[in-house]
Amino acid sequence: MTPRPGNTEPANRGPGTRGLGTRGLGTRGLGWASTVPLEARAFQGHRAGIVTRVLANTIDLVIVTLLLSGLYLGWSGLRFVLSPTTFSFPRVSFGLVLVVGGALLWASFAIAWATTGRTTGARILGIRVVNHKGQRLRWSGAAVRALSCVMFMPGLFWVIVSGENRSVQDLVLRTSVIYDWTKRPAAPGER
Amino acid sequence: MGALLAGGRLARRTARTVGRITAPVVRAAVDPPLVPYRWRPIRRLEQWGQDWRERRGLLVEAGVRAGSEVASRTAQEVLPLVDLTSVVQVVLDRLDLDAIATSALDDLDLGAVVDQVIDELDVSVVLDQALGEVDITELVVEQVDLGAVVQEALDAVDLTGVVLTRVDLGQVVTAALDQLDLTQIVQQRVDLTEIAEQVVEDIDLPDIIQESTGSMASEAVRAARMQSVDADDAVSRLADRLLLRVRKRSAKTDAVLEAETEATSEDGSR
Repeated sequence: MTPRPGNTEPANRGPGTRGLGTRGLGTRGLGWASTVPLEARAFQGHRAGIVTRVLANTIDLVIVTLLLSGLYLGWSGLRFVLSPTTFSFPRVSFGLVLVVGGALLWASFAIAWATTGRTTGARILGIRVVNHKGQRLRWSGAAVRALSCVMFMPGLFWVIVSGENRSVQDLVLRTSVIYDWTKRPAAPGER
Repeated sequence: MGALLAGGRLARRTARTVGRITAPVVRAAVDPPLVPYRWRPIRRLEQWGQDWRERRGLLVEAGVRAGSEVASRTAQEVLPLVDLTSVVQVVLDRLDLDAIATSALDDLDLGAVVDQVIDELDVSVVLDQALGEVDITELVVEQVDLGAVVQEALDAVDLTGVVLTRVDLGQVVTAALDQLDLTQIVQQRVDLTEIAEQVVEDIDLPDIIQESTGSMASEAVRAARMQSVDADDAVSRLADRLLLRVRKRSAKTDAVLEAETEATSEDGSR
């Protein structure tokens, strides 16, 4: 059976892999016993709207903030252990917070999009980043998209204006953020 | 032979001549005129003639009886001495049996004969008797080329059509299924393991297990996702209205559009 366009099921599923149940889903070939609820199947593969994407990014930002806080506390604890008598909480400039936070965000975005196509926030909200072929991004593409997203966050809000639910980064890099409630990651170069 | 015939003719002529000469004399002697009838010799002759006529039947009968007895005894004595086979053979050699048979058949009304025979015979009884004495199956198996007969019959008949029109296939299949132990056949003939593996491959088993084990969390997540999707739609509609967008917003990716086109063409080609 010829895989449908957008069907990004991993090829190692064997010759018996069926494309059943993909009608109306368009992107990933949901098996006929897929756990995606019936009411959600109609929009699987469609580009996600602003609310979902903002929520996902918010969750990711919260996680990165928690990570930053953890780093700060860890660094402070290390300093306390090394010199308890002269210990004081380290002063951190806003610029350093921005740089380290931005670096953490960029790394988490790039790794997530190149491996599973979704960050933690995206996984919770059931969305996934794919390229123009509906495939998982390559490492280079994921790194560039992550950098552009971190450097120009307001670009996300072009989704509201766009007639196709695309952010600025999506338009420039020809990527899409789609609803995808399945759990299997899409493989790069596979359809 | 010619001399015999000539001699015979001469003797007959001589007898006729002598008779013509002696007839008046004999007649005068036997039936003399002027003599009362009761004295005439002819009266005695006529009486003898009458007696002869009366006794002739009995005499002939006795003669025939004696003759047949003599013939029978003679045959009994003679037949053992004769090679009847060779005699019959000689006779048969000299007979044109074909001509005789042809002539006889020409003279016979065979149709009438056969009709009469059939009328007088109880054909069913005769057939029963004949069939009882003959092993027809063995006869047919030995004498008939059954393969050729069956082949010829099969060539001449549209067997599929005959079966489709004449046979209640549903009943046949039902009867066959009643006699079969399908479970056993499936167990023997079907590689159930392979099918099970195929099914497990086709369904998203890890997904299902994950869903079933974390149903509480997944329900909350599902509700949150559905609400965010609804919010997406609401925001999109609002934005479109504010932007006075005439053209409807399309959230479908190229992959979705391609898949839909393919699905439509597949439906059309069916």
